[in-house]
Parts: sequence; C-alpha cells; structure tokens
Amino acid sequence: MQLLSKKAAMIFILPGLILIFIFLIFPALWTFFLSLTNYSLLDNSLEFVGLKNFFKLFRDQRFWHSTIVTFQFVIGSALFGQTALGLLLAVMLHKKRGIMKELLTNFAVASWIIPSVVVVYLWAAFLDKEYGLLNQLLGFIGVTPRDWLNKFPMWVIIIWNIWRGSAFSMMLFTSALQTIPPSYLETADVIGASRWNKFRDILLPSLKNYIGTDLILITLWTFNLFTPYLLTKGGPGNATEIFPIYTYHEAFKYMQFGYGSAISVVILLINLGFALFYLRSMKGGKQ
Amino acid sequence: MTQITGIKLNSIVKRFGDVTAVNNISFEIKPGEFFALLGPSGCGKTTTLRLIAGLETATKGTILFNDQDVTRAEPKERDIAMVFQDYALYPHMTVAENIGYPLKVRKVNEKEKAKKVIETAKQFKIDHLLDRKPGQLSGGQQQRVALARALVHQPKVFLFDEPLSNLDARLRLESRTFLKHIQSKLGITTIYVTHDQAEALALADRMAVLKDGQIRQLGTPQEIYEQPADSFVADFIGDPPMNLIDCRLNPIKGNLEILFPGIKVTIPEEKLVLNKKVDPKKDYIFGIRPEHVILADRKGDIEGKVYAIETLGSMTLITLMVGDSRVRVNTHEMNLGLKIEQEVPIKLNYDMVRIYEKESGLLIK
Ligand SMILES: Nc1ncnc2c1ncn2[C@@H]1O[C@H](COP(=O)(O)OP(=O)(O)OP(=O)(O)O)[C@@H](O)[C@H]1O
Ligand SMILES: [Mg+2]
Repeated sequence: MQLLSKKAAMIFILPGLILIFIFLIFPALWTFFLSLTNYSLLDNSLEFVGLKNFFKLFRDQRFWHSTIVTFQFVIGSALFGQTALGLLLAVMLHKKRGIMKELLTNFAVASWIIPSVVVVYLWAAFLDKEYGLLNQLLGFIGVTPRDWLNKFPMWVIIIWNIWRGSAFSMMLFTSALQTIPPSYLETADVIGASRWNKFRDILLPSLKNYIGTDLILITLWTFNLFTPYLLTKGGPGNATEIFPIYTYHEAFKYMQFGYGSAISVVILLINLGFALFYLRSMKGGKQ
Repeated sequence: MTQITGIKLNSIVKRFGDVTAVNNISFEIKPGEFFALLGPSGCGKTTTLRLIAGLETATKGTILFNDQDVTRAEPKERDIAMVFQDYALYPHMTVAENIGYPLKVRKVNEKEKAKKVIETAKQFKIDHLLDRKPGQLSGGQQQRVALARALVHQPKVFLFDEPLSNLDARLRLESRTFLKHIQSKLGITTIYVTHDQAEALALADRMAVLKDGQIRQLGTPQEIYEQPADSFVADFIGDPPMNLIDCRLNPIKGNLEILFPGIKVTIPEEKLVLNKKVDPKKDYIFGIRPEHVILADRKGDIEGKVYAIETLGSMTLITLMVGDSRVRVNTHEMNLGLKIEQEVPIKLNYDMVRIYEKESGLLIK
C-alpha cells in the first residue's frame, strides 16, 4: 500500500532537498567552478583558466609536503590513534564495572565535549616551554624542559588529536560490543580461549562493520580538521601544514580563491577515495 | 579416554547484590549421570549451572569435581562444555570452523583437527553442512552444531541451559531423543537446565526441583512424579497437572471424613494412612493424578458431573465437577459415550492419593 502519493511525498521532501542544495551542493559546485578560475581578491580577477590551477598544484612543493604531513596526521592520529586506542579501551572495559571504568569513560568523554578553543588553549598552556605543566612535571623527574610545540610539532598535534577524539571511537565500540551476545564470550571462556583468542576470533570479526564505519568517520573528520591551526598555525615553518591549513593559507592569507578551491577539490577527491575504499572492504566482509 | 567426573555442591549460596539467586543448595551428581535442574522462571537454575561452569563465583559453599575443590577455578580449568540457549554459534565462522574452534584454541594441529571435526560432524549427521555459516542453518541443525562443538574435545562434564527451548514442538521431541541417545552412548556426566517438566522427566536419571533458589525435591523422575514432596512440586510436575483440591479432614470412629468444597466423602481410616495426626480445624490439600481417578461402571466413591471432554489422541481428558471443584480424569478409553452435564460415578486409587498440609505445603501421605 502506498501511504502518500508521489506528489505529496515530494512536498514533504522538498524543504530538505532545498536546504541540502543551498548548503551542500551549491557550495561544492561553486568550489568546483572556482577551481577552474584564477579568482583572487587581491586584484579582483575572475577568469576561466581551465585546469591550470591543478597543474600548478601538482608542481607545488608545498602541496606535496602538505600531503605527506596530512597522511602522517591522519594515519597517526585517526587510524592508529583514535580507532585503535578507542577499540582497545572499549574492549578492555567491556563487561567491567567499577570506579576505573567510570573514571576512564568520564575522562575520555570530557576531552571530547570540551569546546575546541578551550581545549587548544589548555594544551598550549600545558605544553608551554617556560611555564607549562608538562615541563614542570618532567622537571620533577629530572628531564630538561623542552619547547614541545616548536621541536615536536607533528607529535604534538597527533597526540593532541588522539587525546581529543578517542572517546568517540570508544563509545561507538562500547555500544557495538553490547550487541554481541554474552554467550559468545562465555562459550569461549568455557572452551578455554585466551584473551587474545577471544579478541581476534570473536570480538574483531563481530565488530568489523563498526570498525569500518568508525574509520570512515574518523578519517574524514581528521582530514578536514582545522583545529591544529590554533595550536601550531601550521608551523613552525610549514611543518604541520595539513590540508585544511594549507587551503586556508592559500585562500585567505594569499587571497588565491581559485587556487584554494583547486586544493579543496583535490581533498574532496581523496576523501571520496577513502570512503569508497572503506565501504567496499566492509561489503566484502559480509557473506 | 576421558575419566568420568562426579560433582558435589555443598551449601552453595549466590547473591547478586540484594538478590539471593541460589540459597543454600547441596546435591551430588554421580559420574555419568544425566541430572536435570527443573524449576519455574527465576528460581536460580541458570545461576546454579553457571556456578558449576565457573562463569559465576559462589558467595558461599564449595563445589567439588571428583573430590577436587573447584569453587574458585576458572571455567577452562574444569574441562567442561556448555551449550547455551542461543547456541552461541559464531556467525562469521563456518560450521567446520565452529566445531573445530575448541581444538584450535587448544592448538591441535590442522590435520588432526580436520579429522576430528569430520568425525564429530558425522556422528551428529551434519557433515554435509560443514561449509555453511550458522545463519544458513535451521534451528535443529544449529543445535546439532552447538552439540558437536561442545563434544569435539571430549569434555568431562556437559552443561545445558535450556537447549531445546528455541525449537518447535516436533523438533524438540526429536532433539530430546537424540540428546538422550548421545548422552547414554557417551556416558558423560550431564547437567541439564529446563523449566519444562516433561523434558526433565524424560531425560533425567535424577533431578532437582528448584524454587526461589532452594531445592524442593531431589530424586528420580519416578519418585518425584509419584510422590511430590510438597504441594509446589505436586502442582509443577505432570501434564495434565495433578488434581489438587482444598479439603478438611475429620476422623470419626475409625472412619475418615474428607470434606471437599460442596461434597463430603467418608472412607475407612485404613484406606488413607497419614503420617501425622489429623487436625480437623486445619486445611489440607488432597492430591491425585488424573490417571488415578477412575470412571466407575455403577457404584463409585463419589459422583461427578461432566464439565468438558478433550480428546488428546491416545487418551481422553475428562474434566468433572465434583462438588464445587474441578477434577481431571485421564483415561485411555476413547469412546465413552459421555455427554456434558452427565453424572458419572468415579473411584479414587487411594494408594496414589497424596495429602499436603495447606499452610506448610508438606506431604503427610
Ligand atoms: N547477573 C545478575 N545480576 C543480578 N541478578 C541476577 C543475575 N543473574 C541472575 N539474577 C537473578 O537471580 C535470580 C535467578 O536467576 P536465574 O537466571 O538463575 O533464573 P532461572 O531459573 O535460570 O530463570 P529462567 O528460567 O527465567 O532462565 C533471578 O531473580 C535473577 O533476576
Ligand atoms: Mg535461565
């Protein structure tokens, strides 16, 4: 039975479609269009230049540097960091009760829900060379103070992002674990399976699709994360100039909107590639 | 071959916070015995089984396997196998991988594992399903796979938590027979949890009837069926259930008056010998199984009025109004020519009558 006529259905969907078009599709198309121009706020030019921006981009050392830095950031903080750590925490705390679990969960969630700006300034204060808490703490055990933000900028933003985002993965995996019948693990206990057996043979396969979903979300979020700018400004030099910061620099610092748009388009394509790859491997896992 | 294990529970108590799930239970299971734990929902059957498995730890008391204290031992140290109600087959593994999993965990080499898996699968008649995933099997097939996986490494004790309750009636009967066959053949000590009294009666060598975390009766199915130790067990065991009628007892000059609601029966005292002196002011429960109420030809002990007649295939279940109480009569005779509201005389097999004190529920005959 059809509840609504096609026409009525259209009327209900239309507002949504219009909003999607205004806020998602139109800007995307606009960006794509701009990437084919030399649009710049410096001289107010707007001419069609074809793929020139892209050719320039692929010859740009800074672009390739940014690519490497971005992949380090994404693989380090999203894949190994948030996904793996989140999974580890969720599995360790599964079926556990007590104060440790509460503390860890609350800590992880707190680091996730505090607004970015606050978090960033807390971290900047924590890492400060002269007065930072980290150096003071390390001082107690006799480690000489270091200028963390300038000497290890990549590590700083990776660890910062792991700290910041693992709660999401942990919560996702925690609720996923709750969908696994307790009898699966208890059968394994009775059989005599080790912890590693249970993790590899039972939990991991059961969580496969959740891990895929988590990877898609985390990877895309991390790819498009601008917040590290507040910590390092992409520097020192361009040591931490990940894609969003690179785009921002090109578009707003040098006012090259056409060129900036071209970078955005490339990022979009890379994101798309990742998403398709994850989706496909998830599908392959189903029987 | 595997050594046969006997199990002993000594005064086991298990509390979950304020809830006492198991309240001072003791029993002994002989090596090779098929032992059933029977009781209504929430009586602590599963908890008792999980204590034996080592999935829960007793608050008090001890558990012995062959005189060895395993109260605090890990499940894997107990050499047991357990089949859960949901079978817990791993959906991402094939049937062969599922069956072989206990061997994989024990690091048995591939060749021997494959041999064992096929051998066990053949025994359970599922060798043609080895490449399938559990999701592609019927309920009965899944159950066999679960059994095969539990048995493949030859455990010493076999634990079941309502393994048949997910099957439809027909398959349930078939699986029950199969289970009994396998257990008798292998002679593994087996503990079987169920809330279905027919299942327990059919399968068990001995059984315990539980209520509120305590054992109400322990014995062979026949003992429990014929001589339920209290009114709860009497009511719980048997299908159709035992007739349990409130009554007063009044001894008069060598006779015993039984006052049922709306009707009185007087019998010679020696027909119903009670092991406790009767108090005419106390309430009692008169219990008799439907097969021990006999339709008499002419003169019976009492008259009943036909209330309903149900044909159960091999038998007929007749419900009579006797006084104000309903009495079920079970007979193998099929064409009785009875009509509703018709008066019929009945006889009671007084040897098989059980009398309980209403207040305590205790058996006094
Ligand atoms: N992990 C637990 N935490 C708290 N209470 C529990 C727990 N497990 C069981 N109980 C309680 O203990 C009592 C006995 O539970 P149990 O599961 O042993 O009953 P059961 O006889 O198996 O019932 P059913 O036939 O419904 O499976 C119940 O009141 C139940 O609520
Ligand atoms: Mg149960």
